[in-house]
This record gives sequence, structure tokens and C-alpha cells, in this order.
Amino acid sequence: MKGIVPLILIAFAAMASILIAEGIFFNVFIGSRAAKEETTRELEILTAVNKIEMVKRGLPHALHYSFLEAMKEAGYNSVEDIKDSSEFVKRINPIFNEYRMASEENIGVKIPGGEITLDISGNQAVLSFSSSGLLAYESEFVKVYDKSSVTIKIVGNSLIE
Amino acid sequence: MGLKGFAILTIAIVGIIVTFTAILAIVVPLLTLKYHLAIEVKNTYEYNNAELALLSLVSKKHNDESMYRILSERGTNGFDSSVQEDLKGKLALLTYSKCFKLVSESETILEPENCDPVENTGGIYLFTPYNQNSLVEKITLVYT
Repeated sequence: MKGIVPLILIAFAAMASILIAEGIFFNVFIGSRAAKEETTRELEILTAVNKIEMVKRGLPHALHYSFLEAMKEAGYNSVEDIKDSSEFVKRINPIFNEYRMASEENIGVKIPGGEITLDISGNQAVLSFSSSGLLAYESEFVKVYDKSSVTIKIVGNSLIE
Repeated sequence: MGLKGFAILTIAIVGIIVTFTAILAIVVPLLTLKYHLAIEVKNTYEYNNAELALLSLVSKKHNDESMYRILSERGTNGFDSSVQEDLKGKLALLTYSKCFKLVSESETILEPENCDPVENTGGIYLFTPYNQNSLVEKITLVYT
């Protein structure tokens, strides 16, 4: 009977050590997981904001490139060659839609559908894309939106920034 | 030493080994997990830094022309040495480094000078002049 006491003590000591170690493990593990999740979300917010920002900065150029391609397809050399701006806008629309699709496929940012308008005065053109929808980047944790409307001024064939 | 004493000693040793193994089995994966977490966070942080540097770069101008346009049209509108020098100067300011390279998916835009940049890597997408096969291009900045 006397000899079993140290055995019980050793068993208790071993169990206590394992329990303490498990306590530390789960505490730190849960803490690490929480920190990881928080950090992942924060980094994903940064990534989402950067992606929206790169599309926002590129949108005037995408609109300009759509305009230039429509000019090329119509066989025009300068803004002054455009006689009917509403007809010309019909040429710009499908090209700009390709840029919209490319943005969604490659960058993950949706550019909503909208209306393109063109005002021409001499060798200057004001080209606008307006939409009630927003630029949108959505992932599992993050949804970031920004306004999508943009207006550019074209003189000659160059984009004025 | 009696049989009873030997048994107690054996159980004590086994107990110590079991406890030690249990602690090791817990601590080692934990440290590995924390190490990987730290590496992952560091990489993503560096990626975001490089991305921000590129976003700032494309907002800047070179002789009244936007860097965005210069970079996206470099294949058609030329990309001469004065532009490259200006680009280097701007990137040196933005990255606070002299060791960097700028690459696209198909070419090196800016070569590093006598160094091998590795640490910070990040890329942005640019809309490019209309081409049926490709309307966006990714450019990547690597700097140390």
C-alpha cells in the first residue's frame, strides 16, 4: 500500500505536466489563430484597396484606349473627323466592355455597366463613362467599393490629365 | 535495490520521458506555426509595400506625361534612356533603395545595377493600348 503512493504522485505529476502543456498550447494556438485571421483580413483589406486603386487610376486610360481603337476602326485620324458623336459612341461601347471584362478576369475588380457620352468641340473631346454602379472588389472577407464614373478630356488624340 | 524500488524508478523515468515528449510534441509544431505565420505576414506586407510604390509611381509624371501612360505604351511610344533614368530616380525615392528591378510578364523593364534585389516583390496591372489578345499587363517591382 505504501509503495503505491509514489506511483500515484508520479502519475499525477505527469498528468499535471501534460495538462499545463496542453493549456499553454491551446491558449497560444487559439491566440495565434485569432492573430492570423485578424492579420489575414487586414492584409486582404490592403490588397483590395490597392486593386480598386489600380483600376481607378487605369480607368481614364482604358476609356482613352477604347476611344483611340474606335477612331482606328472608323478610319478617323483626329477628333475633328467625328461627325456624329452618338454613332461614334456605339463604336466605343463594345471596346470599353472588353476592358471591363479584362479588369474582372485579371484584376478581380468589377467595373459596372454604364453609359458613355461624347461631347466634341473643335479638336477637343470630352468623353465620360457614368454609371450608378460602383467599382467592386469582393472576396471571402472583404468588400471594397468606389465610384466608377470618369470623365476625360482629349485634345487632338491625346489624353489631357 | 528491491523489485519495488526498481519499478518506481522505471515508472518515474517513463513518466519523465512521456512528459518531455508531450511537451516537445506541442512546442515544436507551435513554434513552426508561429514561424510560418511570421513569414507569411512579412511576405504579404512586403508585397503590399511594393504595390504601393508602383501605384505611387504610375501617378507621377515625366515631362507632363503620366508614368502610367509611359509604362503601358512603352512598346509603341518608345522608352528611351531619359525616361529610364527618371524612372530609376522616382523608384529610388519611393522604395528608399537603389537595388530594384521592374519586370513585366515578358520582359525586363528596368535592370538592377550590380545587385540582386530579392526581398520586396509586388505587382500592379495596367490597362494597355487595345490589343485583342491582351488588354492588361502586370508589371512587378522587386527591391531590396
